[in-house]
Amino acid sequence: MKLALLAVMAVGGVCSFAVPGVYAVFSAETRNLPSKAGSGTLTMDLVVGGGSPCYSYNGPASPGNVNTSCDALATYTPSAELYPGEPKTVTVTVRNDGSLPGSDLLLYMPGGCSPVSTGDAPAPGTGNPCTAGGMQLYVEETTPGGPKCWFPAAAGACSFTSDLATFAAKTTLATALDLGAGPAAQQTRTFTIGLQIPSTADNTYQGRGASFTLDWHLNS
Amino acid sequence: MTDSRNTKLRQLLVLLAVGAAATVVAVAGTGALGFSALDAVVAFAVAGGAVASLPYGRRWVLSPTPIVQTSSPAVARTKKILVLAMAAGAVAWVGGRGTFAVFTADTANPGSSMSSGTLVLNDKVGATSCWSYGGATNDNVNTGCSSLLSPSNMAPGAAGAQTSLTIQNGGSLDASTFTLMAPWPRATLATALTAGVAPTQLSLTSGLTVAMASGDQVTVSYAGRSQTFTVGAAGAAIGATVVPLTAAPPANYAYPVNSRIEDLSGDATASNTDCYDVATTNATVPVAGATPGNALPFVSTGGNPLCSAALLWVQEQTNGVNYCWVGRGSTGSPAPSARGMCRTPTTAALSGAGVTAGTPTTTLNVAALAGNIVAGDTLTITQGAHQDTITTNAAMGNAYINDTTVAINSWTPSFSYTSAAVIKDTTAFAALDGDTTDTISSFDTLRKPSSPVTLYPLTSNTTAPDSTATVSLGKTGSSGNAGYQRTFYIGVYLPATSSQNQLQGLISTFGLNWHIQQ
Repeated sequence: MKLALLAVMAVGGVCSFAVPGVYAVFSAETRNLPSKAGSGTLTMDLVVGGGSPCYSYNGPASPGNVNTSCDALATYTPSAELYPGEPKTVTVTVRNDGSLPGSDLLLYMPGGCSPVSTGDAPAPGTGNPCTAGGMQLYVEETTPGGPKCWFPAAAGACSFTSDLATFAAKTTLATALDLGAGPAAQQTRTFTIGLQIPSTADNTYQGRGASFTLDWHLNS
Repeated sequence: MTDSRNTKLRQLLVLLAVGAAATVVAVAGTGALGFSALDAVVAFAVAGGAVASLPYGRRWVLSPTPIVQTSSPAVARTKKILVLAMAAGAVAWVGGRGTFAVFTADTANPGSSMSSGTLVLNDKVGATSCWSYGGATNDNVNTGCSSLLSPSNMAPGAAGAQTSLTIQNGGSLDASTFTLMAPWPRATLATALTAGVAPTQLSLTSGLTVAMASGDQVTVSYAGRSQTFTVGAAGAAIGATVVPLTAAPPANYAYPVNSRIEDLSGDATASNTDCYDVATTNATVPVAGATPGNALPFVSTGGNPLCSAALLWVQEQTNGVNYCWVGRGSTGSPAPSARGMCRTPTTAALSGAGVTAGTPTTTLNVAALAGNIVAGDTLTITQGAHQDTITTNAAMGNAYINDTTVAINSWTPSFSYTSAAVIKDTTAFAALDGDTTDTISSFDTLRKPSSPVTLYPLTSNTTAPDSTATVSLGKTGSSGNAGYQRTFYIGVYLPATSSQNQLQGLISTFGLNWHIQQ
């Protein structure tokens, strides 16, 4: 009899604990397959003259997508030294290696211009190529659609009508020379940088040089 | 002798009474007398007790009698009576229904039936329907519905991407609850589990997209059955196809291949959300030949940076009523909207012949908007080198997704802009470019299954949804804002901030999970 009562009690206990589990409701659920949002890339390389590409993302200054070790436009070698009135031109090709179009290409001279002695002149002068009336510079685009002179701004091909000192004032992105939109993804733009000691330069410019950095900046 | 006879007679009568009571109660327990099931249980218990007491009663009847005359006719008759009483009770209990009345009346309601309703969900992207019951896991959960978005070459500050989605209740029952939540990290089983055997690991059909740490709780489920295991000490890295287990109990079911595996510890931080980043490769770059993300030394997927930067919005537009459920403008965002609209990176184009230079206008006729414009916003219109600034009418200038007119303050165009001109809501872009809160990662960590967005029925653009409604997604064919279908616009945008090179060349993968309940 005790067993029977215990059994009844056990059944009651089971019922009391099991009841909450019977109130399940219907439900339905869908999940969208993963969406994907991908960012593009904006990288560039410079080729100076016939040199090798210098990638923005591959230099010692990375990880900022800034490469500060690309080839110089010119170096202080006897063969590269200039006479007054002798132009020196260097071709610079800017390529957009990324997947995004470049909305704006900017060129500026961080740190400005500093006069230096070439080191191979026994008695260098005291002239400053970085001041007004000193070394001359232009920036000309050769592609596409023919030459366009960006500095000093002029239609068609450039001539030496402005000096390095004027450009050297463009030391920040805010004051940079705006070279307009592009290149588009996987496209290039080619520029010619012209340098010249004015034909009117005197002996104070002997054995003197200008040291400067050109910074090419591309925005998406 | 007389006393003995009287005693036996009294005991016999008591025993007969007990037997009769047991019989009546047993009959009642069968339902013949219209008692409830509980009565039947009681009757069963009492009858059982009575029957169980018979041996005791028998001994009680017999024990006081000092002289046991098993062969006396009286005792034999008593035994026969008792046996007959028990037999009658048993017959009544089993099959005696309806036999204890003289006058009877009876009615019958034959052919009654009952049926259950259905509650199924259709996740409709464009013209493609995806039903909840079509999932491989056979539990009215379908995790394979169409992908919503796939912008592949996003740039900071550029127009985002947006798509629409219609959710339908295709069942015969109203859904009282309708929720949106972030999916949680999951995989599928590559090797079936054997019932009763404790697994030492879970084999996956594809590599993990989110690492599982030691001690994480993972659930294996299939067709309504589930079991939770603990990830072993080694954990499982991204890409792993095996998840080690520790102290696993025997499998409570033979979970087949493709059973779902879910990490219940996911969506806790930006590093273990459903949204995850991978770097593009030469095979996945959006423009052939472009530098892939995996070539960039300044790009890392650690912490899912693109998931943590890209903004997400979910705006409902049902029967012309809007509400921002997720994103800037939603409740809880830095700038909740009183107009029911999310902040979107809205650009637009003029429709028709455009506008004429020198002719004042107070309305912009535009192609159907892919975003919202808040009354009072500043717009720019640009075509080539020409650009004008326009301000929307602060009182009338609200324009919602799909609108084709925008009320503006009087504007005299400086140029005859055509449909090629680009109209840009600069106020909206500025607001979004400063937003670091309404990101995909934030949605994942805030809106996981334990804290979903409850999609109450909409009421109007300027009032909160009806949190007291008893129906959130009505049964098929029903109408109204809690009708059987509701439409949502989902978008993403990569805001422009000062330095974002670390976000180059990444792909964020993310999802949305929709749930209804009876």
